Amino acid sequence: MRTWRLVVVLVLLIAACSESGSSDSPTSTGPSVDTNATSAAADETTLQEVATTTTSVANSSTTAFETDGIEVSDEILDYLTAVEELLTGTAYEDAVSEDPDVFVATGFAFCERLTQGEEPADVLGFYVETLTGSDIEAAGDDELTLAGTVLGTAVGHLCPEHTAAIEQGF
Amino acid sequence: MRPGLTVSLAVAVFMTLFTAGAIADEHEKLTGLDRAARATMQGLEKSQGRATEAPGQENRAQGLDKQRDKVTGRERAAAAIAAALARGNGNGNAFGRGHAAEVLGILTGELPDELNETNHGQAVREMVHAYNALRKADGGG
Repeated sequence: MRTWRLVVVLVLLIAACSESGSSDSPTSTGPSVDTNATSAAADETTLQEVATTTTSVANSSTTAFETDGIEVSDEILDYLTAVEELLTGTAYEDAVSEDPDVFVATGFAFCERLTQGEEPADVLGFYVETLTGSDIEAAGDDELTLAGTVLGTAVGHLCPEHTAAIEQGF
Repeated sequence: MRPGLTVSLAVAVFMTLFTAGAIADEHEKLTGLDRAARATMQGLEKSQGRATEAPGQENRAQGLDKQRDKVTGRERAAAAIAAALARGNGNGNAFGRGHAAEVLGILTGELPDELNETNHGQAVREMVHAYNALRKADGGG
Protein backbone atom coordinates (compact mmCIF):
# COMPACT_ATOMS: atom_id res chain seq x y z
CA MET A 1 0.00 0.00 0.00
CA ARG A 2 2.79 2.41 1.00
CA THR A 3 4.85 1.58 -2.09
CA TRP A 4 1.85 2.21 -4.32
CA ARG A 5 1.38 5.70 -2.80
CA LEU A 6 5.06 6.48 -3.27
CA VAL A 7 4.84 5.56 -6.95
CA VAL A 8 1.84 7.87 -7.43
CA VAL A 9 3.66 10.78 -5.75
CA LEU A 10 6.74 10.21 -7.91
CA VAL A 11 4.68 10.12 -11.11
CA LEU A 12 2.97 13.39 -10.15
CA LEU A 13 6.31 15.04 -9.36
CA ILE A 14 7.81 14.02 -12.71
CA ALA A 15 4.73 15.31 -14.53
CA ALA A 16 4.97 18.67 -12.73
CA CYS A 17 8.66 19.05 -13.57
CA SER A 18 8.19 18.40 -17.27
CA GLU A 19 5.30 20.92 -17.36
CA SER A 20 7.34 23.77 -15.89
CA GLY A 21 10.31 22.97 -18.11
CA SER A 22 8.33 23.42 -21.30
CA SER A 23 6.67 26.71 -20.29
CA ASP A 24 9.71 28.85 -19.48
CA SER A 25 11.58 28.62 -22.75
CA PRO A 26 10.81 31.88 -24.67
CA THR A 27 10.29 34.37 -21.84
CA SER A 28 12.76 37.21 -21.88
CA THR A 29 13.44 38.97 -18.64
CA GLY A 30 15.35 42.10 -17.76
CA PRO A 31 15.93 45.30 -19.70
CA SER A 32 17.32 43.83 -22.88
CA VAL A 33 18.71 46.34 -25.36
CA ASP A 34 16.67 46.14 -28.52
CA THR A 35 18.57 47.74 -31.35
CA ASN A 36 15.92 46.63 -33.82
CA ALA A 37 13.19 48.62 -32.09
CA THR A 38 12.80 51.01 -34.97
CA SER A 39 12.72 48.56 -37.82
CA ALA A 40 10.51 46.19 -35.88
CA ALA A 41 8.04 48.97 -35.22
CA ALA A 42 8.06 50.00 -38.84
CA ASP A 43 7.09 46.44 -39.70
CA GLU A 44 3.59 46.55 -38.34
CA THR A 45 4.62 46.21 -34.73
CA THR A 46 1.79 47.28 -32.50
CA LEU A 47 2.06 50.49 -30.54
CA GLN A 48 2.00 48.66 -27.29
CA GLU A 49 5.05 46.70 -28.32
CA VAL A 50 6.88 49.83 -29.37
CA ALA A 51 6.11 51.65 -26.16
CA THR A 52 7.08 48.78 -23.91
CA THR A 53 10.29 48.04 -25.73
CA THR A 54 13.17 48.92 -23.49
CA THR A 55 15.52 51.08 -25.46
CA SER A 56 18.96 52.16 -24.45
CA VAL A 57 19.88 55.47 -25.96
CA ALA A 58 23.03 56.15 -27.90
CA ASN A 59 25.79 57.84 -25.93
CA SER A 60 24.17 56.85 -22.69
CA SER A 61 27.00 56.71 -20.21
CA THR A 62 25.17 57.54 -17.03
CA THR A 63 22.15 56.27 -15.22
CA ALA A 64 19.16 56.36 -17.48
CA PHE A 65 15.84 57.89 -16.62
CA GLU A 66 13.10 55.48 -17.44
CA THR A 67 9.69 56.53 -18.62
CA ASP A 68 7.03 54.13 -19.83
CA GLY A 69 9.58 51.40 -20.38
CA ILE A 70 11.88 53.60 -22.45
CA GLU A 71 15.27 54.44 -21.08
CA VAL A 72 16.41 57.89 -22.08
CA SER A 73 19.95 58.93 -21.31
CA ASP A 74 20.75 61.77 -18.93
CA GLU A 75 22.59 63.49 -21.78
CA ILE A 76 19.43 63.78 -23.83
CA LEU A 77 17.29 64.84 -20.89
CA ASP A 78 19.83 67.47 -19.80
CA TYR A 79 20.14 68.68 -23.39
CA LEU A 80 16.38 69.21 -23.62
CA THR A 81 16.26 70.85 -20.21
CA ALA A 82 19.02 73.30 -21.13
CA VAL A 83 17.50 74.13 -24.52
CA GLU A 84 14.10 74.76 -22.98
CA GLU A 85 15.60 77.04 -20.35
CA LEU A 86 17.65 79.04 -22.85
CA LEU A 87 14.71 79.50 -25.20
CA THR A 88 12.50 80.97 -22.49
CA GLY A 89 11.03 84.23 -23.75
CA THR A 90 11.44 83.36 -27.42
CA ALA A 91 8.85 82.14 -29.91
CA TYR A 92 10.18 78.63 -29.30
CA GLU A 93 9.56 78.67 -25.56
CA ASP A 94 7.01 75.85 -25.53
CA ALA A 95 8.31 74.04 -28.57
CA VAL A 96 10.72 71.82 -26.63
CA SER A 97 7.99 70.27 -24.53
CA GLU A 98 5.67 69.97 -27.53
CA ASP A 99 8.12 68.49 -30.03
CA PRO A 100 11.17 67.22 -28.12
CA ASP A 101 11.99 64.71 -30.85
CA VAL A 102 12.65 67.48 -33.39
CA PHE A 103 15.09 69.17 -31.02
CA VAL A 104 16.93 65.92 -30.33
CA ALA A 105 17.05 65.09 -34.04
CA THR A 106 18.35 68.55 -34.92
CA GLY A 107 20.98 68.37 -32.19
CA PHE A 108 22.24 65.02 -33.46
CA ALA A 109 22.18 66.33 -37.04
CA PHE A 110 24.38 69.28 -36.00
CA CYS A 111 26.78 66.87 -34.32
CA GLU A 112 26.93 64.79 -37.48
CA ARG A 113 27.79 67.80 -39.62
CA LEU A 114 30.61 68.74 -37.25
CA THR A 115 31.86 65.16 -37.28
CA GLN A 116 32.06 65.42 -41.06
CA GLY A 117 34.42 68.36 -40.61
CA GLU A 118 32.09 71.24 -41.30
CA GLU A 119 32.82 74.54 -39.55
CA PRO A 120 30.35 75.59 -36.81
CA ALA A 121 29.77 78.93 -38.55
CA ASP A 122 28.84 77.15 -41.79
CA VAL A 123 26.48 74.78 -39.97
CA LEU A 124 24.80 77.72 -38.28
CA GLY A 125 24.61 79.74 -41.47
CA PHE A 126 23.08 76.93 -43.50
CA TYR A 127 20.58 76.07 -40.78
CA VAL A 128 19.40 79.64 -40.16
CA GLU A 129 19.09 80.37 -43.85
CA THR A 130 16.98 77.26 -44.38
CA LEU A 131 14.96 77.95 -41.26
CA THR A 132 14.11 81.54 -42.18
CA GLY A 133 14.33 81.35 -45.95
CA SER A 134 16.64 84.34 -46.02
CA ASP A 135 20.19 85.42 -45.27
CA ILE A 136 21.47 84.96 -41.72
CA GLU A 137 21.94 88.73 -41.43
CA ALA A 138 18.22 89.23 -41.96
CA ALA A 139 17.24 86.59 -39.40
CA GLY A 140 15.34 87.54 -36.28
CA ASP A 141 16.73 87.25 -32.76
CA ASP A 142 14.53 84.26 -31.91
CA GLU A 143 15.75 82.22 -34.87
CA LEU A 144 19.40 83.10 -34.20
CA THR A 145 18.94 82.21 -30.55
CA LEU A 146 17.28 78.93 -31.49
CA ALA A 147 20.03 77.90 -33.89
CA GLY A 148 22.86 78.90 -31.55
CA THR A 149 21.25 77.34 -28.51
CA VAL A 150 20.62 74.01 -30.21
CA LEU A 151 24.17 73.91 -31.58
CA GLY A 152 25.87 74.89 -28.32
CA THR A 153 23.86 72.61 -26.06
CA ALA A 154 24.05 69.74 -28.54
CA VAL A 155 27.83 69.95 -28.49
CA GLY A 156 27.84 70.31 -24.70
CA HIS A 157 25.63 67.30 -24.07
CA LEU A 158 25.43 65.10 -27.16
CA CYS A 159 28.85 65.41 -28.80
CA PRO A 160 31.32 67.06 -26.41
CA GLU A 161 34.21 65.91 -28.62
CA HIS A 162 33.44 68.99 -30.75
CA THR A 163 33.80 71.48 -27.90
CA ALA A 164 37.13 72.77 -29.18
CA ALA A 165 35.69 73.32 -32.63
CA ILE A 166 32.99 75.52 -31.15
CA GLU A 167 35.35 77.45 -28.87
CA GLN A 168 37.75 78.17 -31.70
CA GLY A 169 35.27 78.25 -34.54
CA PHE A 170 33.88 81.76 -34.33
CA MET B 1 13.94 122.58 -6.82
CA ARG B 2 17.55 123.15 -5.80
CA PRO B 3 20.07 123.67 -8.64
CA GLY B 4 22.31 120.91 -7.33
CA LEU B 5 19.48 118.40 -7.48
CA THR B 6 18.50 119.50 -10.99
CA VAL B 7 22.05 119.02 -12.24
CA SER B 8 22.26 115.58 -10.64
CA LEU B 9 18.99 114.55 -12.24
CA ALA B 10 20.10 115.81 -15.63
CA VAL B 11 23.38 113.90 -15.38
CA ALA B 12 21.53 110.71 -14.37
CA VAL B 13 19.13 111.00 -17.29
CA PHE B 14 21.99 111.67 -19.70
CA MET B 15 23.96 108.67 -18.44
CA THR B 16 20.93 106.39 -18.76
CA LEU B 17 20.26 107.48 -22.32
CA PHE B 18 23.93 107.22 -23.21
CA THR B 19 24.19 103.68 -21.85
CA ALA B 20 21.00 102.57 -23.59
CA GLY B 21 22.25 104.04 -26.86
CA ALA B 22 25.59 102.30 -26.49
CA ILE B 23 23.90 98.95 -25.88
CA ALA B 24 21.64 99.43 -28.91
CA ASP B 25 24.66 100.42 -31.03
CA GLU B 26 26.54 97.34 -29.92
CA HIS B 27 23.56 95.14 -30.81
CA GLU B 28 23.37 96.80 -34.23
CA LYS B 29 27.05 96.20 -34.88
CA LEU B 30 26.79 92.48 -34.16
CA THR B 31 26.22 90.48 -37.30
CA GLY B 32 23.63 87.72 -37.44
CA LEU B 33 26.39 85.16 -37.17
CA ASP B 34 27.82 86.99 -34.12
CA ARG B 35 24.49 86.79 -32.38
CA ALA B 36 23.99 83.12 -33.25
CA ALA B 37 27.55 82.42 -32.11
CA ARG B 38 26.86 84.17 -28.84
CA ALA B 39 23.83 81.94 -28.29
CA THR B 40 25.99 78.93 -29.16
CA MET B 41 28.54 79.87 -26.55
CA GLN B 42 25.81 80.40 -23.97
CA GLY B 43 24.46 76.95 -24.72
CA LEU B 44 27.89 75.40 -24.48
CA GLU B 45 28.73 77.22 -21.26
CA LYS B 46 25.47 76.16 -19.71
CA SER B 47 26.23 72.55 -20.60
CA GLN B 48 29.73 72.81 -19.25
CA GLY B 49 28.46 74.42 -16.06
CA ARG B 50 26.34 71.34 -15.53
CA ALA B 51 29.19 69.03 -16.33
CA THR B 52 31.70 70.69 -14.00
CA GLU B 53 29.29 71.22 -11.14
CA ALA B 54 31.17 70.32 -8.00
CA PRO B 55 29.23 70.43 -4.76
CA GLY B 56 31.53 72.21 -2.32
CA GLN B 57 30.77 72.40 1.37
CA GLU B 58 29.97 76.13 1.27
CA ASN B 59 27.67 75.66 -1.73
CA ARG B 60 25.99 72.63 -0.35
CA ALA B 61 22.52 74.14 0.00
CA GLN B 62 22.71 75.80 -3.41
CA GLY B 63 24.04 72.59 -4.93
CA LEU B 64 21.14 70.64 -3.54
CA ASP B 65 18.71 73.15 -5.01
CA LYS B 66 20.36 72.83 -8.39
CA GLN B 67 20.22 69.06 -8.11
CA ARG B 68 16.51 69.27 -7.42
CA ASP B 69 15.97 71.58 -10.41
CA LYS B 70 17.91 69.21 -12.61
CA VAL B 71 15.75 66.29 -11.57
CA THR B 72 12.65 68.36 -12.22
CA GLY B 73 14.03 69.36 -15.61
CA ARG B 74 14.76 65.76 -16.46
CA GLU B 75 11.31 64.72 -15.36
CA ARG B 76 9.78 67.39 -17.57
CA ALA B 77 11.91 66.35 -20.50
CA ALA B 78 11.05 62.69 -19.95
CA ALA B 79 7.37 63.54 -19.74
CA ALA B 80 7.63 65.47 -23.00
CA ILE B 81 9.23 62.48 -24.70
CA ALA B 82 6.58 60.15 -23.31
CA ALA B 83 3.91 62.55 -24.58
CA ALA B 84 5.50 62.64 -28.03
CA LEU B 85 5.42 58.86 -28.11
CA ALA B 86 1.86 58.70 -26.83
CA ARG B 87 0.78 61.24 -29.44
CA GLY B 88 2.49 59.13 -32.06
CA ASN B 89 0.67 56.11 -30.75
CA GLY B 90 -2.62 57.86 -31.45
CA ASN B 91 -5.30 55.29 -32.09
CA GLY B 92 -2.84 52.71 -33.22
CA ASN B 93 -2.93 53.53 -36.92
CA ALA B 94 0.05 53.17 -39.23
CA PHE B 95 0.85 56.89 -39.09
CA GLY B 96 0.92 56.82 -35.29
CA ARG B 97 3.12 53.77 -35.23
CA GLY B 98 5.43 55.38 -37.75
CA HIS B 99 5.82 58.44 -35.55
CA ALA B 100 6.43 56.39 -32.41
CA ALA B 101 9.08 54.41 -34.26
CA GLU B 102 10.62 57.66 -35.50
CA VAL B 103 10.85 59.07 -31.97
CA LEU B 104 12.46 55.87 -30.72
CA GLY B 105 14.87 55.93 -33.63
CA ILE B 106 15.90 59.51 -32.86
CA LEU B 107 16.46 58.65 -29.21
CA THR B 108 18.73 55.80 -30.17
CA GLY B 109 20.72 58.09 -32.45
CA GLU B 110 19.27 56.66 -35.65
CA LEU B 111 18.46 59.83 -37.53
CA PRO B 112 15.67 59.62 -40.05
CA ASP B 113 16.49 61.08 -43.45
CA GLU B 114 13.34 63.16 -43.23
CA LEU B 115 10.92 64.17 -40.53
CA ASN B 116 7.23 64.49 -41.30
CA GLU B 117 6.23 68.17 -41.14
CA THR B 118 2.55 67.53 -40.62
CA ASN B 119 3.21 65.72 -37.40
CA HIS B 120 4.40 68.82 -35.56
CA GLY B 121 3.21 72.16 -34.24
CA GLN B 122 3.31 75.31 -36.33
CA ALA B 123 6.32 76.85 -34.56
CA VAL B 124 8.37 73.74 -35.22
CA ARG B 125 7.47 73.09 -38.85
CA GLU B 126 10.20 75.38 -40.11
CA MET B 127 12.59 73.52 -37.84
CA VAL B 128 11.51 70.25 -39.41
CA HIS B 129 11.98 71.79 -42.85
CA ALA B 130 15.47 72.98 -41.88
CA TYR B 131 16.30 69.56 -40.42
CA ASN B 132 15.26 67.87 -43.65
CA ALA B 133 17.48 70.28 -45.59
CA LEU B 134 20.40 69.54 -43.25
CA ARG B 135 19.99 65.83 -43.87
CA LYS B 136 19.70 66.26 -47.62
CA ALA B 137 22.80 68.41 -47.76
CA ASP B 138 24.39 65.69 -45.68
CA GLY B 139 23.61 63.13 -48.33
CA GLY B 140 21.00 61.56 -46.08
CA GLY B 141 23.52 60.38 -43.49
